[in-house]
Amino acid sequence: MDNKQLTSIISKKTGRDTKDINALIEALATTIKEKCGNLDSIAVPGFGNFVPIKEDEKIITDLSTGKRLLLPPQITLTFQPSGVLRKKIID
Amino acid sequence: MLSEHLSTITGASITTTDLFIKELFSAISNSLAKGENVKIKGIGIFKTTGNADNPVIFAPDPDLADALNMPFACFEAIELDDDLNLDEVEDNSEETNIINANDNAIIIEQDLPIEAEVNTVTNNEAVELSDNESISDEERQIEVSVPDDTNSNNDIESPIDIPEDCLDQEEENAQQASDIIDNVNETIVDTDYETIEATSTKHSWKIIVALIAGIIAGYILGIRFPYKANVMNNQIEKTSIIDDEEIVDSIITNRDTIHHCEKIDSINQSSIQDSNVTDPEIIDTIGTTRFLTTMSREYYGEMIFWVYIYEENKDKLGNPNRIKPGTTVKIPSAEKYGINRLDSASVALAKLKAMEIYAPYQK
Repeated sequence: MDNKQLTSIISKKTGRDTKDINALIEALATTIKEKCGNLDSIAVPGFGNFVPIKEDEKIITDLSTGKRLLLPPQITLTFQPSGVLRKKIID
Repeated sequence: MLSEHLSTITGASITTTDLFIKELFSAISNSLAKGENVKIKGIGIFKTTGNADNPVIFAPDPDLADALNMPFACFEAIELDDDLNLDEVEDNSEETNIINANDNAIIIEQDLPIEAEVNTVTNNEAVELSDNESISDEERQIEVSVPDDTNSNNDIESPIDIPEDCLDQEEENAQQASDIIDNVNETIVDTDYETIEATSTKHSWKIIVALIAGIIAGYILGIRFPYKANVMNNQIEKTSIIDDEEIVDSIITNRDTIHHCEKIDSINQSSIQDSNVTDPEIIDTIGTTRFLTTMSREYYGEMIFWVYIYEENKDKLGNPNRIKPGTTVKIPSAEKYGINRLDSASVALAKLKAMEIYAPYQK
């Protein structure tokens, strides 16, 4: 399912224009950026948690070349599905 | 609450945003339950794996990932040398500090003979100089400020050991040095014509050139900072040693004499206003290794405040990631935008501002 299909589905269910839905999706993305940028996780009941994980700078070794690289710190956004979602998918 | 936050951003009612969230995530879960992947613009892709332990994988959108890692955007992966040891890195950093200190020492040592030569020549011409009482105090202070080590150097000081050629060279260097001293005096004391002419009868043409340069400099300074220059002139007549704090005090006192009716509190306020007016604009230049973030870290203590430098120079800067090296930018004062690296609200505001700046350039 791509973005267009998703917005049209939500548009039908909520009775709002697709432009409004797109604006809400954009606002959701901004919220995730803002919250997860501060290393706060976002919990969506019945769906799962968006958890940002900060990794400190580290030295890795490229096995093919044997060269060592100093990687800068980074924040990785992960998703942990809730039990309900797990069950729904597995079943 | 997520719905409340969405409501504040979009201006929609909480019921609307609440319904949207419910429908959005139920649509995603239904699609995932069917085994379909779901792609949401600006957020990412949810993929089913078929693995019971980890049934869903979330791959964040590149824009979202970049926005999250924006504080570390100025860093890049660095390839390390094979022989490099972290302990050695620390040792090397200490060594480089020592080397830099040594470099400074060498520069000072190279400078010392010129100053020493000035000192010897002034000693040789002690009769002339001592007879002339119109030598400015600043010149004497410069002569006095030559380190004692040079005085202990007999090779330089004793006229017997110095060959005649060297003496000629010394005289030339002394002339240059005296010209520099004259220039310094003229720029500081504006134009004290009588004293300068009295001390420089030998090399009048050079002094005339220096005088003209000093007059031009004084004229330009007088045009740009007329009030400050007048105040400084009045102050210089009173005191020979110029100090920045004293200039500020003199501004306060002069204003006080002009406005007799003002109270002490108002004087302080006027001095604050004056200090704001006379604050010079900081101009910096973007380089291949000098970005807005590095400037922000230098001037404000945090990289995230680069947004305010960008905001100040928005007219000439386009995409913040594609600023050409050599572009000059004005650094705003921290007070102007309420920049405080210790204040989490200020940092959060800067992050929001960064998102706003990046928004038009996102694909």
